Amino acid sequence: MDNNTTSFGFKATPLIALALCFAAFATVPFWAEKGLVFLAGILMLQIVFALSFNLIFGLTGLVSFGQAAFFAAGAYASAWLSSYAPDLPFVLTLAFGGLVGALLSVLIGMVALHRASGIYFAILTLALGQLIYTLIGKSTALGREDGLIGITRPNLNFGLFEIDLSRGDDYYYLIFVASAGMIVSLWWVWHGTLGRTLSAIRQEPERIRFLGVNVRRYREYAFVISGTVTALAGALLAPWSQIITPMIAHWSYSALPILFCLLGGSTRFWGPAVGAIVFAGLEHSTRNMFGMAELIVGGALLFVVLAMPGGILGTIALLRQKILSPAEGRPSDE
Amino acid sequence: MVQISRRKVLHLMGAGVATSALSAPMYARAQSAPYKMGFVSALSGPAEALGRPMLFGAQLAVDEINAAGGINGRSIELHVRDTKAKPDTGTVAARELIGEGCNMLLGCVSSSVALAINGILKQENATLITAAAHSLRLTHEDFNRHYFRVTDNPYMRQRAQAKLMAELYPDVTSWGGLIPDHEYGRSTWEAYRHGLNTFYPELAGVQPTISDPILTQYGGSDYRNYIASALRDPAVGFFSSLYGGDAISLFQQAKPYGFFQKKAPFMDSANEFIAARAMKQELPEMWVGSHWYFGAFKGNEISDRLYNKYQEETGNKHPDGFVSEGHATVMAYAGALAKAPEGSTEEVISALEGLTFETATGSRTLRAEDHQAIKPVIIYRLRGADNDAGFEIMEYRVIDGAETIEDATPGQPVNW
Repeated sequence: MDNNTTSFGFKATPLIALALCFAAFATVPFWAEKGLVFLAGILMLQIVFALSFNLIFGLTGLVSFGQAAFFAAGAYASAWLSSYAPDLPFVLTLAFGGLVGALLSVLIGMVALHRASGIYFAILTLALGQLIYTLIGKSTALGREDGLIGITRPNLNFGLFEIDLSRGDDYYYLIFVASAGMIVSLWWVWHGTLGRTLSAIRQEPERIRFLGVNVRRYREYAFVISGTVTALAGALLAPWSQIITPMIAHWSYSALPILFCLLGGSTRFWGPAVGAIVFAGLEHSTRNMFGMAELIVGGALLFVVLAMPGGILGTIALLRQKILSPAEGRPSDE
Repeated sequence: MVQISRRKVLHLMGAGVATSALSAPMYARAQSAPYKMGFVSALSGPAEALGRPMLFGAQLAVDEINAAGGINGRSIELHVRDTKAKPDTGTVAARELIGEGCNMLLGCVSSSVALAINGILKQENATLITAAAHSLRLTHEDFNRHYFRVTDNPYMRQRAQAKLMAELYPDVTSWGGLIPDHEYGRSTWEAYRHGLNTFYPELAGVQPTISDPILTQYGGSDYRNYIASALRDPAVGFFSSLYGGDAISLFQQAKPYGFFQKKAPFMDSANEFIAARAMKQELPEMWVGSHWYFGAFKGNEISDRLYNKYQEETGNKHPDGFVSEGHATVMAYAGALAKAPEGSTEEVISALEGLTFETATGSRTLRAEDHQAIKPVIIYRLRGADNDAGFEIMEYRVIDGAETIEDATPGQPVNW
């Protein structure tokens, strides 16, 4: 095989992998049992959660430990509204979840991004996130520690016809379409002018400031976009899982997207998605090793993070580079 | 008009015969295929100590039934999943089990998990029998036909506990509580408080003073602030419904403060021998609620067999009541399947309603109206001791469930 063919093959591989993933998620209800379909729905929302988080983590260079607060805000806001006003169209309750997430991210962003950066920013987001967790756990309207139970799946009313999302796999496909839409939007932000500016801010914030860019304002944009998309993912989760508990606002839930980013590679757009899929696979395959599951998953993650500093995608890219240009990276003979 | 030729009719008949010939073995296979049951309970985390014995009992019942030839000639297959006592993990586990064909679910330590699974039963066309999960909402406000409970509930147990306190300690008229801030904790406190208000005036001739309960966090590790609040509380007697690892942490942290000398009697809702095994000689004296105490049911064939088997396999001479309750869930399904051999969800529900079946605590009946079992309440007094086990059972009480059960009001709150 000549070098050009190898190069073409490698370039086509990510697209093929993406198409395979797309096809796999699109067809899960046809070949998997109910439990796996349910987990696939959760996984799609976790991928959106992780990709939106990576907008501030991998792209903008801010470490937030409070991302779960937005996820919970979206989930609780939409679930609460749908139980309070059950006749409201589902799209409105979904939008309400996103709006609450957006407002919360504006507020937290204003506080946390005001002069804070690095470890101070991380601790501040952790504290504010835990504040949201405590507020939810103490709120009787939100079910306190028990959470909201028995959330019903809605009807989509299009005037001429209705789709009952509680039947069959209809809600799964709603998640599929909505997740695809949100992922495309995030991809557009990542690869557009805003994404390039954010990337430049991560690399050289001082230099970018000298160029006349309002760094804080741009970081706030990233924070709000990330928080809003995360909240929308949370709002979609509530009718799918039909139960939400304060645990989705807990700091340990905020650690999940960080883990996905480190696992898959935070410098690449698809890194967190790969991380989420690998993590879900590990968790699912060890679920019956009671008591040992956490040890095995933890050990495997530790290995990946230590042995593959660029994550799975980073390591694949490195290997690809070595295969395509074997001379690179070797000490010179001269 | 549609013309049907003789050839077409013959083709159709041929296809019909072929389909019947092919489907006959499938039908036969369905008739001999195992009944699939799904066990969902906490098998890791702070409530593991409750879920493990429950699984032991359920597995033992399955093994016994299969060894005796199964039910209707069909064996039982038990699929097991860990809920970690978390509602969201529990619903994932339940959905997965249902996806594997287990339409008969059983287990559940935690009320929150049971409430969460209860919410999806109708939609997923499955049933759940819980071996613990005492929340009153399950058989009252959130009642649905797909849910059953083989054990007692807070109305039965906590009121029986309060009655016992009024009988034994008529001079202790001020009470406080340390309860976990979730559905189970609130249910137990509500019932205990109601029991104190009912039985102290009736048996001791005094109206008790009851403090606001101290709400603790589930899965916490540091209980010192809660203990300090309890010590500041003027109440003399104390009730606690923390369970598993949480209760052990609380007791261990409370002991150095002299808590159990200052707050006595101490009534524990449901920790069986779990805290006693962990603390051994350090265990303070306390009354403890239980599902089953082997010493109280000597001569009951199932109880004796469970005790011997458990002791033989684990070396533990003090099995927890969760063993008998796990066993009872399978026995209830077995009784229902004997009446409903197809094992379809609708048939199983109908067969379970009003079913009387044998357990380690004697015959139990699942009340047809609200699916609550009528069974005895067991309470014993424990303390640390210098013996092999490290603790001793000082005395015990068995209270008839029919005397303590509430009115059946499915879909409605408890009629206090």
